[in-house]
Amino acid sequence: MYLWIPTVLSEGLWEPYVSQERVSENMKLNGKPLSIKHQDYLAGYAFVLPILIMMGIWFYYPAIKSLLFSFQEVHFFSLNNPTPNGLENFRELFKDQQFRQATTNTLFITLVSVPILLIGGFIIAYAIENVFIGKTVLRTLFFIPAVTSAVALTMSLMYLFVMNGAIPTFFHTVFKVPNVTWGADPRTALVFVAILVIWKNLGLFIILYINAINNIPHEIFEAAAIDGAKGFKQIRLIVIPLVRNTTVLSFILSVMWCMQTFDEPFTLARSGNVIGSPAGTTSTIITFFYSQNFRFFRPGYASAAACLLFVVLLVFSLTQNVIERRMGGEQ
Amino acid sequence: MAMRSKTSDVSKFTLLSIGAIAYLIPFIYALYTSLLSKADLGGGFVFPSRWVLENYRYVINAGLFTWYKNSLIMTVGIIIGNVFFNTLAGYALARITFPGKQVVFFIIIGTMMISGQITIVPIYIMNVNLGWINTYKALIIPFLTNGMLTFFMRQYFLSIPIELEESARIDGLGRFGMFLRIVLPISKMSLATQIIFLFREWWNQLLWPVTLTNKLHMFVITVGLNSLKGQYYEWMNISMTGVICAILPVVLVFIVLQKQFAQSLALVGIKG
Repeated sequence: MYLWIPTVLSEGLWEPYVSQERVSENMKLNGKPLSIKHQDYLAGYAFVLPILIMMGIWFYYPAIKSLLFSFQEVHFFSLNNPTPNGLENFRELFKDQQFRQATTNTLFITLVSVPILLIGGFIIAYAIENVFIGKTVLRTLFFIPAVTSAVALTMSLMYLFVMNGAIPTFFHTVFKVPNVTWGADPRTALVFVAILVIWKNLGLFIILYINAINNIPHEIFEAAAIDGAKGFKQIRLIVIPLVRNTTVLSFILSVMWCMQTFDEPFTLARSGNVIGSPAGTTSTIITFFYSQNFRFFRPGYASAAACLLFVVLLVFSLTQNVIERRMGGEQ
Repeated sequence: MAMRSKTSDVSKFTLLSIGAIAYLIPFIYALYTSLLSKADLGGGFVFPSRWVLENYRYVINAGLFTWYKNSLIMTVGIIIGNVFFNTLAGYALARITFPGKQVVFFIIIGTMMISGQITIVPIYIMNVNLGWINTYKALIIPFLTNGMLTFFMRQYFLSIPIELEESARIDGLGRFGMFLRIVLPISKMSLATQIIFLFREWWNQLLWPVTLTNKLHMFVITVGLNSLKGQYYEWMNISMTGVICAILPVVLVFIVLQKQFAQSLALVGIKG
């Protein structure tokens, strides 16, 4: 989503003017320009007013309130009487060991998952598109986890990665990973969360890459085959450069999602009270935010963490955009 | 891409199918476990002494149908609201000229730039103040609009030929008539895309329902499933039955409407 904003904005500046001209041509056609124009004004407001009211009440008002909260001390049991405390929340955040751990964990999940999601998604998509039988069946199968909830997937994988189960035993014998219940042991829990995130989202990136590969004109492959580009050479010289837009998009999406990991650690914890367990090793920024709110009852402090995450993501998407545009300009 | 042998194709397909099945192992294992009696638990993937359905009875007694009902009410409510608000606004942004349109456009698109989680606490407080916690209102009303889907609808409306509306205007139709009788009937596919997108998103939603409800009778399927795990931690056959019950509806809908799902996924490109 963040990637699209600037394109959206530049389009937004142009397109309404285009359609405006067309509409005014059309008004002259009717012979009574003024009255229809005003009717249109009214219709326009009637069409957008409902959504503006809803967004104002349920999005902008809470978002601004949340921003204000991060500069206030808010008590959960007297929510409507916050007291301002300047930058105190942020100062505390930077000193907070738990927040530091949550941030490190979130970065770990992101750094591990993003490359695997992109590379794995691309390889599997390319393989599927190169098979001529059963393509639809394969697509369907690989997409199923992506339509189900993270809670369901987490629960079933939790019980597959139990001590002495087939998978932990295999990893124990081959890679000397301790034979433990992965979701419950501090040494393996965070890796397990990354596995969950990858497992849940891989199908989505496969589908995105399949769409991208399908959009490459067939003639390009034929011309490449004549020129002798086959196999890996074909992938490296033709497919990868031509799906670049999808790669950029997938990169942004996967970073955004991984940075906002919540469902998996929440489900992994035995109850909502110990979210981030074992010993905080699976806590993420959003779970930190959640437990500061609903377990430690400190909405102001929690909002500060959320605002920080928001700023980081915004900076990330803006930087990404500037780079993207500069590279686009050079081409 | 042109020349290829049949045998290599078959072997590739076999290899990928094995990969796909490995990828689906969690759900296959869940289905298998859900049919085991307690006595057969913990034996790994072996043929059990008998297959049972009693776990499903457990899950139903724990409130499965209530959770289904709550999920369905929430999802349908959100879908109806979104289709109404997003489609109307998308049409106005694409086709109607009115003063202040740019500002309106920025306000609607601006919601895409801010992650919704930032609004959790204030929305929770608003719901407390309204006394809406543990009601359907709390689960539905805050989520009735979507900037990204509005933008999607606008792009769609820009793509349909304006001549249709021009001729409708000559025939004397006003904006509303035009929208209802000319534009909406040819927009069914985009509405379907919105519906599928929202269905997948909200049937699987955890964060908001878990925040806004805390009573068993108001749990949606994801929250209910999570509570099953807490209750029957040692009896994974029951948890796994819950998993199967939770994913069954959405997987069935997906298999029936595959093509539409893939289309609405292109939308995910703008989702975050």
